[in-house]
Amino acid sequence: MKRILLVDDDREIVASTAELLQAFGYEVTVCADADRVLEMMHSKRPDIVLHDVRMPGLDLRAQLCAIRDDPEVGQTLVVLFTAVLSAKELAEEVGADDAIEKPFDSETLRTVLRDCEARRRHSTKLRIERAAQKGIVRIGEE
Amino acid sequence: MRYARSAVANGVLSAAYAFVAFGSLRLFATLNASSSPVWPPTGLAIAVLLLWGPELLPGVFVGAFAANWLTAGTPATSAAIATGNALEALTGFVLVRRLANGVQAFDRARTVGVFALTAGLVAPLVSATIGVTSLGAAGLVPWPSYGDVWKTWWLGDASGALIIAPLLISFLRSSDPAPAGGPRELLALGTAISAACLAVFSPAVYSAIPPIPLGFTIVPLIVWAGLRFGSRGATGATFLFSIVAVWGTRGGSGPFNSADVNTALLSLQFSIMVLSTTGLAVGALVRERLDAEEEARKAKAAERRFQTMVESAPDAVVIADTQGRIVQVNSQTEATFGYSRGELLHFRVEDLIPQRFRDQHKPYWSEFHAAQSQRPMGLGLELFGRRKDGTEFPVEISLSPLQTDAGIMVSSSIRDISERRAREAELDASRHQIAVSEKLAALGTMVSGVGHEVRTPLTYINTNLELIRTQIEKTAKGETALAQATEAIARLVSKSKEGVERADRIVRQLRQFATAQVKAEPSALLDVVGNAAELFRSVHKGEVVVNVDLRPVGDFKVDRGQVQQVIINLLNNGAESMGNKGTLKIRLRPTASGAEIEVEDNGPGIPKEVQSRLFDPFFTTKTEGTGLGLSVSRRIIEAHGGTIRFTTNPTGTVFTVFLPKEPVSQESIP
Repeated sequence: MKRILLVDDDREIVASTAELLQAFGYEVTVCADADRVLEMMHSKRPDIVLHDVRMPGLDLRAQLCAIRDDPEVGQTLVVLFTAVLSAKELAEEVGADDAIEKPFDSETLRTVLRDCEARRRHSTKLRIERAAQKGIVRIGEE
Repeated sequence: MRYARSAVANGVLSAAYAFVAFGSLRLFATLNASSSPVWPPTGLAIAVLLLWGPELLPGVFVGAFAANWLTAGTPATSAAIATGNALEALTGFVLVRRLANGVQAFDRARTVGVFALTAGLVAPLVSATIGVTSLGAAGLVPWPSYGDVWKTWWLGDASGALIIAPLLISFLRSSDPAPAGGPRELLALGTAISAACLAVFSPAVYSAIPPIPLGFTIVPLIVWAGLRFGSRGATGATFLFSIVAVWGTRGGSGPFNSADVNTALLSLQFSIMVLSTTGLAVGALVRERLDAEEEARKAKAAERRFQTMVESAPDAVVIADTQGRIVQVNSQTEATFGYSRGELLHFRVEDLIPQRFRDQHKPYWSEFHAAQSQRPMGLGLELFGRRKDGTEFPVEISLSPLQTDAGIMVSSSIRDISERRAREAELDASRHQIAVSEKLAALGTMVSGVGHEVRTPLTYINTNLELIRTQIEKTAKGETALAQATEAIARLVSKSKEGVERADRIVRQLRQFATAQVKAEPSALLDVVGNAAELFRSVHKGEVVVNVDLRPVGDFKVDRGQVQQVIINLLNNGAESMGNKGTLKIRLRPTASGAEIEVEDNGPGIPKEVQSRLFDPFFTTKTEGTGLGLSVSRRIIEAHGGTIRFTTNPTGTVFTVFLPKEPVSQESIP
């Protein structure tokens, strides 16, 4: 079962989205405090982080950098979860894997998450292949 | 110093007086040793007092006493005579100063007459009476000859006063106009007088021709002197003639010669008195005419100056009499109203204003006449002028009373203010434009923030709907019990309804901010401030914390949207000063006359060099922004009759907005 860390400070959004994600078959962990995201990523090891962009005390760019720089969880899929317009551009800009604009319908959410995982698998495979060609594969990276 | 000078002057005067008096007595006193038909000291004394003041009276007394005592009589008679002489001088001085304009006596024919009457005839009565009476009492004049001695005394003093005083005053007073005659004419006059004297007093001449009254030849010469050389000419000529005449007569020659020298001299002196007065009167008449001409020239120049001033005035100047008839206009009036000067001079003032204002105009006109003072017309009212072509234009009129020979006039300065009005309208429009665009800019920021806020409830409403559908599907398939599904759906619907309310609240707040309310209306300031803070919070959610501390202050007559704009503007500035993170505080407090709203940030403060320009339009320290936020804010608050100020230090800035309970003016809220 895939694990999702849902980061959002709006109680209602968290409640409804978590219910939906559970219905999709994800194991959902909720985090309402932007400062605790990395810590929870370490403890819960989610496959995907669904991250709100406007939260008290949150500097999104710094947050993404911190995640990406983390040797243990840096490769985790991060999907922005936002009500700002042009969410995709924002995702690209800050180094997130994808974005879902609020409000969203359930199909969109399911598709984005699935595509994201597929792309990740694909790119990982590519990376391994490329690394293999150069002979610098480290066993057990996947 | 002053006393010392006065003492010296008195000393000099007493010596001069004594010298002249002693000489006169020695030379001419034949009837009685103390009474001379030729007595210049009287003229000397009166002239000196008029020229330099009555503090020289002691000099007169001392001089007279010395001369008399040295000549004849006792110390007692000398003292009495000196007293008489001093009183004579004082009487002449006082009367001339009071009635004949003092040293200016010879500038007017009337005062010449008064001078002759007072100094010439009245003053010597004092001296003659006191002097002869004291001599009689001392037995120095036998009572039977009292009358003759008195006559000699009186006439001697009178002639002295009328020949010598005008001479000294004319030549010694500071101002005298330049004579009409030049030096050559003066030479001719002198020659003529010398010739006349020679003819009248030389036995060789007058004995060779039949007995005709040659003495009269001097009359036209004195008139000549007076006409051409003024009072100096008249008195100088008279003096010259009198010296020759006295000398000749005393020597027994000339037309005044008689068996007794005293009678001859009296007769001569009387003639010279008349001559002197005539000459002075002629001089005065000439002077009067010159003065009148000068006056007329000045008046003419003044009028020309006035005309030029009126003509060169930047405004249309219309001068009208009390009936409102136009008597003078300038060319600006022609240009402004389109009428020719000729047409305007047949108009009344109200012909220059539109028909519909004419009735209103009359009370103004009479009101102005009731209290004449310079003032603008129709304060606070729109005034209009009407051109020849019937078009109207806004004017500003200033009225001032004008005192003229023809009575009181009213000068109206009329300024065409069409251009100014147009500029003002333009300025108002651009101000409004600025206010609107500033608001739109704020609205833009607001909308993107609010969009986010609205989408949040939409998000979970949407999700809830999906979940409801799932529940229904599951129930239909029999996967979920109906009761369980009903409960879940009820919960989801309830949550969704809350979400709808939340979105609605945000939209309402935004609408309130955006609505361009033209009129202020009573609003609970607490809500106005609270909503603004909430709106700001939604925009800056997650970045800036706003601590709200609002106390109820009651209803204020404000434009809600504008006041919110100001508060959001201040909050925005505060947030930006802190790099969009940190804590802002907003407080609302009642004060004695209204309420204060404080917005406090803990940013780095406002640099000194920026502080004075903070409220200037287009001044900004930000890379983005119009620089109009604070200037527009201030204008809004001032339009509400309030104030906006700030205190700042390196650990933060507090902006304080004061709003009065009773606004001063509501008119100009943009």
